[in-house]
Amino acid sequence: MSTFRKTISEMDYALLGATAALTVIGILSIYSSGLTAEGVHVSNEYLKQIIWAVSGLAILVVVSLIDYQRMKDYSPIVYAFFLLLILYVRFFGHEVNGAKSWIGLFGEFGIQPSEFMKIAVILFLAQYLSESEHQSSFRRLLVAFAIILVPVVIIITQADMGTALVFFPIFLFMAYMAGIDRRYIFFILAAILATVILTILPLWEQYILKSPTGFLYILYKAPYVFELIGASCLVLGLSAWGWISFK
Amino acid sequence: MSRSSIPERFEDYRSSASGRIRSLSVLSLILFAFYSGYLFYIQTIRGSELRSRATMISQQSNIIPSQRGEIYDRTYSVPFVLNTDSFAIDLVPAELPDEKREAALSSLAATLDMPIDDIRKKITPATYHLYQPIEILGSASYETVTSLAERIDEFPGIYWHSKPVRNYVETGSLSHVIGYVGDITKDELKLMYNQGYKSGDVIGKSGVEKQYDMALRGRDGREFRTVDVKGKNIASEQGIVDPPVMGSSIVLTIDDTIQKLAEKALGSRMGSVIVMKPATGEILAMVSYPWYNPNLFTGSDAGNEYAKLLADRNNPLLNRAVQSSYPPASTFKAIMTAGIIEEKAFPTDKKIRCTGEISYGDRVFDCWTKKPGHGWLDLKGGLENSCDVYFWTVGRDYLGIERIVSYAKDFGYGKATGIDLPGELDGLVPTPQWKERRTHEKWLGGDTMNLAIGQGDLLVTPLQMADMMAMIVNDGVVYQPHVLKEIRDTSSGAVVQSPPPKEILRSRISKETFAAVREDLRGVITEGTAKFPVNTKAVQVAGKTGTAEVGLKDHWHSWFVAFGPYDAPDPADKVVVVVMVEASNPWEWWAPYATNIIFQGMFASQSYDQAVDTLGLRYLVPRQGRIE
Repeated sequence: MSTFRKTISEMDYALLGATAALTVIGILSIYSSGLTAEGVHVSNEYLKQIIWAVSGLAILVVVSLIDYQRMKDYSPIVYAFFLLLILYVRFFGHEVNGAKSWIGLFGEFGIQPSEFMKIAVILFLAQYLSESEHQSSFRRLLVAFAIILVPVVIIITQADMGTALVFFPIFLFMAYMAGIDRRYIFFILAAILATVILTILPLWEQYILKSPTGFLYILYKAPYVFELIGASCLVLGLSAWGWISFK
Repeated sequence: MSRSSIPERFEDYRSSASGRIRSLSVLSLILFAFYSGYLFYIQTIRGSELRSRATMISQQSNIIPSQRGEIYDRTYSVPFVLNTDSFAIDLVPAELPDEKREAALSSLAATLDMPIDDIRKKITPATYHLYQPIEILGSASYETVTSLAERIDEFPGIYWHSKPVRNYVETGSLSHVIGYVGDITKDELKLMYNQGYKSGDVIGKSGVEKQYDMALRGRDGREFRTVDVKGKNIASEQGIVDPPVMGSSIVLTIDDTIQKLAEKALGSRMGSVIVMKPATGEILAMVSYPWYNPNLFTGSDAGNEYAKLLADRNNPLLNRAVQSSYPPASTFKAIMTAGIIEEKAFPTDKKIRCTGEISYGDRVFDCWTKKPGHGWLDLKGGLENSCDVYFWTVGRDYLGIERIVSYAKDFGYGKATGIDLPGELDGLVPTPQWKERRTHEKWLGGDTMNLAIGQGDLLVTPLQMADMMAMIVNDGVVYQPHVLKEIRDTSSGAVVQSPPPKEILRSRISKETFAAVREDLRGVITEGTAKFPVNTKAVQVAGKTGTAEVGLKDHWHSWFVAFGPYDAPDPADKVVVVVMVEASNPWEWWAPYATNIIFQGMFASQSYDQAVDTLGLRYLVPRQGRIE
C-alpha cells in the first residue's frame, strides 16, 4: 500500500494532464468527424476510441504501480517477446491496407505489435545505454543501432515503412541523450539527409514540384522503398570508404 | 523520474545530461513555436481563403429531371399523355456494409419484385466503395416506397426520389402517332450531344415524342449539395439553385372522337386509316393496326416487352399510315382520269368496249370482271366501274408512260409528304429509266398497262393517298399533313407556337378538270363499284375503290379513298378519308365499308355502333362486348 501512496504522491501530474487532454481531444475529433452538418451522427467510431482510452487508462495505472527500475531486468525479455511477435505477424498476420502487421482480435478490434515494439525498443535501448556507459562511444553506437535495426528490417518487410521510420528518431534522440559522441549523431543525420535527397532527386519533377509534401508520400510507396534502401546503402558505403581512407 | 535513484558517481554524467536535456527542450520549444505559428497562419491569415476553397471543392451539383410536357387532343381538353408520380430507387453502395450486403440485396430484390441479378448488374464489386447513388429501379410505385420505408433499417444506403413517368392515357390506336420514350442510347447521344442532350436523358423514341422532343423535354434543374472528399453528403439543406422547367404541352390536330371511330371501323384488321382536313393538312385521325401499349416501355420489364414487339411478325411498332407503302391499284384511276381530261388525250365521251380481257403481246390481260365484261364505257363509266380495259387502252395508246409518270408525281407520289412524324416512306413511281437501271430490261407496253391501273412497281403510302385526294378537293393545292396543332406553355396554357398551313404542292391542272374528276368520283358512289358499300345518307361521299394484287390467291389489299361532303361550298368543311386494309387479313373488301361507317359517324355525330346500325351493316360486324 505504501508503494501505491508513494506513486500517488510522486505522480507526474503535468504528464498525466497532458495525456488526458490529448485523449479527450482525440475522442472529440473522431466524434465530430462522424457527424453530418445537420448533427446526425453516422459513425460510431468514437466509441471504439473511448474503449481504447479506458483500457489505456487501466494499463497506465498498472504500469505506474510497477517500479520502473524493475523493468530494466525484464526489458531484454520484453524486447525478445515482441521481436518474435512482429516476426509472427510478418508471416501469419492479418493484412490491413497492404501491411501484414496486425493480430486480429475479436471483431473489428486488432492490435499492431509493431506499436508495442517501439516501447520495447525504448526500454531495451535505455537499459543497454545506461549499462554501457563506460564503453567506447563507437561500440555503443553500433550495438544501439543493431538493437533498432532488427525490428526495423522486420517491419519494413511487413511493408509498413511508416512505422519503421519512427525508430530512427527514437534512436537518434536516445543516443544523443546517452552521451554518445555528437560527431556520430551528426554523421547519422547527414547520412539520413543524403539518403532522402538521393531518393527523391530522380522523382523531383514527378512529385515534388506538384506538391511540397509529396516526398513524404512517396516514401511509403513500394517501388520507392527499394530506392530508399539502395540510396542508404550507397551513402553508408561511401561513408565507410571515406572513413577508412581518412582514418 | 526519481532523481535520487541515479548513483552519485555519475556526477559529471548528470551535469552533461542536464545540458543535453536543456538543448532538447530548446529544440522542442522551437518546433512547438513553429507549429503554433503555422496553425495561426492557416487558421487566421489564410482562414477565409481556405474555407471558401473547401466549400467550393465540395459543392456538387445534382440534376433534377424536368417533367416532360403533356400531349392533348385538338380541343386541348382530352389528355393523351400525362406524367404519373413514380419513384426512382437509388442505392449508395458505400453505405451498405460488406457483411450485410448479400442479405440486403436479396430482400431488396424481393421487395422491389425484380430479379436479384438485375440489381447485381448495377451494383458490381467495382462500385462497392462509391458514395454516388446508383439507380436500381426507375419506376417504383408509392406502395413499394412505403414498404421500403417501413423496413428502412434493413436497407442501409437506400434512397428514393420522385421521377415522373410517362402515362399514356388510353392512347389506343394513337400509339404510333404519339410514340414512346426511352433512355438515350450511346449512338443517339453521339448525334445529339450538341443539341444539349446528355447521358442518362430520357428522350422520345418515335412519333410525336421523338419529333417534338425538344419542346416536350423542358429544361433540367440543378441542385447543389456539399460533399466530403468521397462524395458523401454532409450539408443539411439541399439548395435548389436552378429549378427545373417543365416541357411545353403539345396539342395535336387529332380529334379524339374521330380517332376512336376510325379505330373501331378498322377493327382488328391489319391496315391503316387516315382522316385529314384537306383545307389545312390537319390529321384528324390516324390509325395503324396492330398498335401497342406505350405504357409497357415505362415498366420495369421494358426491355423484354420491346423485344417481344420487335419479334412480332405483324410488326406492331410500324405506323402503317406513313411507314408502309403499297400498290395503289384502282385508286390510281383517279389520277389517270385527271390526266386524260387535262391532256385531252382521249375524248371523255368516246367509248371503249370492255370484253373482260385484252390481249397485248403474248399475254392476255383480264379485267377484274370476267367475260362478257363491262361493255361500252366512256371515261366516267370507266372510272365508276373501275374498268381495267378502258384505262389499259387509253393509258397505253393515248396518254402514254411519260405523261402517266408526270401526273403521278404531280399528285405527290414518289416523295414523302414531310408530315411531322418520323420514318415516313417516299413510295415509288417507276419510270422507264428506273426499270432499265434496276433490271437492265426495257420498259414495255405491258409495264405501262400495269402502271395505268396502279399495279406493278408503283408504291404509295396511305398518307400520299390522302394527299392525292386533297389535291382533287383543293383544286390542285396540297397542304403539308401534320399532327401538331399548337405548342402551349404548360403553366399558363398560352399558345406558344401554332404552325400555319404550309403549301407543299400546287398543280397546273385546271380547276375545271378537278371539278370533272370530283364529279366522276361522286359517280363511283352513286352508280359505280362503291354504290352498295358506301350507302351513308348523312353526307355526300365521293371516292374511289382499289383492290391490289399482291400475289396471294383470293386475298387483295383493299383501298378506299374518299372525300365528303361532295356538295359543301366551303372547302374547310371537307374531309378526306383513306382506309387501307392489307391482303393478309381474311378477304372481306372492308375498306369501303369502314369508310362508310366513318363518314356516317362523323357527319351524323354517331358512335361506331350507332353508325353500324344506321347503315344496316350489323350483319357484317357482330357486336362486341357489353351492349349499351
